[in-house]
Amino acid sequence: MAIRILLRVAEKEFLNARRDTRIIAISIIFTLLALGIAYFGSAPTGMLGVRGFDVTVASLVSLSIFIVPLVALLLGYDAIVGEDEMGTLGLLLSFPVTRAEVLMGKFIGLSTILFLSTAMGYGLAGIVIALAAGIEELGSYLVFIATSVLLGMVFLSLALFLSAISGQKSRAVFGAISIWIFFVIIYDLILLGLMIFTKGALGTKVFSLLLMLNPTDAFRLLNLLGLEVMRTSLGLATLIPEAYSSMVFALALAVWVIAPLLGAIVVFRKRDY
Amino acid sequence: MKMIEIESLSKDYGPIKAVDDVTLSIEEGEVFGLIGPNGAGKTTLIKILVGLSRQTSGRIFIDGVRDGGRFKDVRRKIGYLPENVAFYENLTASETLRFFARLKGVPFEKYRGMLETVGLDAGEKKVKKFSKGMRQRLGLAVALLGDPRILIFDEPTSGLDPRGVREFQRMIKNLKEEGVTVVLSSHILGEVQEVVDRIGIMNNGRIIASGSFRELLETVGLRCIITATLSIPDESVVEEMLNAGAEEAFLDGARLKITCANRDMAKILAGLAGVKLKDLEIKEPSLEDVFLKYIEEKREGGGSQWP
Repeated sequence: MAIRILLRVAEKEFLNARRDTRIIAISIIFTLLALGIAYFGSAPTGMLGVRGFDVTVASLVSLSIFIVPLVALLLGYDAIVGEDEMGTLGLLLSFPVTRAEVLMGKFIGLSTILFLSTAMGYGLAGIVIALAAGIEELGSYLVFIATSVLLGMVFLSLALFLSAISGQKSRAVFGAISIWIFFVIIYDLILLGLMIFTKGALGTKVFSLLLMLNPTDAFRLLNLLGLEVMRTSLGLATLIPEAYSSMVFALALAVWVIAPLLGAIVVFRKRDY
Repeated sequence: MKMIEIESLSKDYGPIKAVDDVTLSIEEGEVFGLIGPNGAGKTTLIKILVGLSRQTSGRIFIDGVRDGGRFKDVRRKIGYLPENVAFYENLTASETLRFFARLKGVPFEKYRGMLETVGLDAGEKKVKKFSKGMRQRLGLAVALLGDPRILIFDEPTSGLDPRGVREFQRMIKNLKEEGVTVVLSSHILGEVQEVVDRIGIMNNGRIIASGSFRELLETVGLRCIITATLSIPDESVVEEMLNAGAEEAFLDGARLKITCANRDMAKILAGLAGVKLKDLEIKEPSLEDVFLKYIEEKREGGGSQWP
């Protein structure tokens, strides 16, 4: 795999998407939501105003779970099938590039956009928090930003897989929406139902494994386990075995990035265009 | 030297044979025209050549490399202009050219002038504002990046105005002089006839005929028709024309009508040189006539009397 080609494709992807007004609009919305959460995050406790990083992270985790996967899916769902429908893919693949290079280049380019959107949105909020409440627990906040990008990369990887297997853009859109609904909304309901149905017979190990099968849960736990206040107040310490450290959940997210990406490369290499 | 060799190539899409047992070879420096009705399999064949699709069976050699279109090193030697070429809408023409130059591993600076070469003076304009003709010109510039030894054009003049078509034809002739092998697929047969050395006619996935235009013309037996208006009607001219090789010649008032094979036309015109004429009209069969004759024959007979 030639790094030169990867970078060229990534650069093109970045340049083309950067000028896409939808992406710019999403970045702005991201920033506004992050700032809003930082300010109104503790409203349920009857207080308004910017709180410390630990409290903000707890609120922003939920925002990330809703928004970051959506942005990533939106960025990646048409990366392959969209280019195929538009007619640019044939020309691109007729050049001296391998399909793996094209796919990885797209992944790198789109991940860069995702990184910048996330860093801009949360970074700006972070500055406001630091100015208002100090830099205590800043580490948790930085971990949260990094893992948000990682969560985005998971869904970007899924989006590219979807884009590689879909023959039509409309099917890729449907697939992207389905993936989002399943992982962000339905999966936890199923898990809850399973726990009720089995009357808690599932052991904590099995339960933790099931959580890792959902990248949004892995992301949530990765962040909340790092916050002592959340670990105790939410009872996570009793639910998640000691052996399942943050690293285990980070590893789960990494596997979630790699597996769909490899699947996408395999499918992409076999297809006719 | 054979630049492209295709042996018993087939491509199936389920029960449909898009390309059916095609065997063909194209010499280095040759301009080969691939013509056929819609759905004949031309684009599928071209896509297999450039490595976008895989054949179901058969072999392709490009510059001696089996299935060369799939390999990066071979693709470096190929320039390809797809049918309905499209580009990244948010990039300018210069950015587009720079991107593809870098992909091919050639310095953009060397090819910066390519946009002017193809008659595009909108380098800093975003592609989304381009007309179809402008996109086509940009496509030509991209195809010419890296001075490829093989150029594959699928409907290259689609969207070009008559001046653009003429420029394209001139460019093909120049490329041929430089020894570049060109494969040209087009519906506009008059344009193909102008520039190609050999033609392959595709129908229902098969190459039903191939050869130079003259060879194809002879094979289908289409004739030239010469109508000469004589200043002084003279029956002896009819005899002279028949002796010169005309298959048929008769006088209708002052109008002498002659039917002849294309190869005999020079002799007949030489014979007419000594005759005082008021008017002369020559009607030669075009590639379109040849093509239609082949296709009609295929439709009527299911098979063909031609090789």
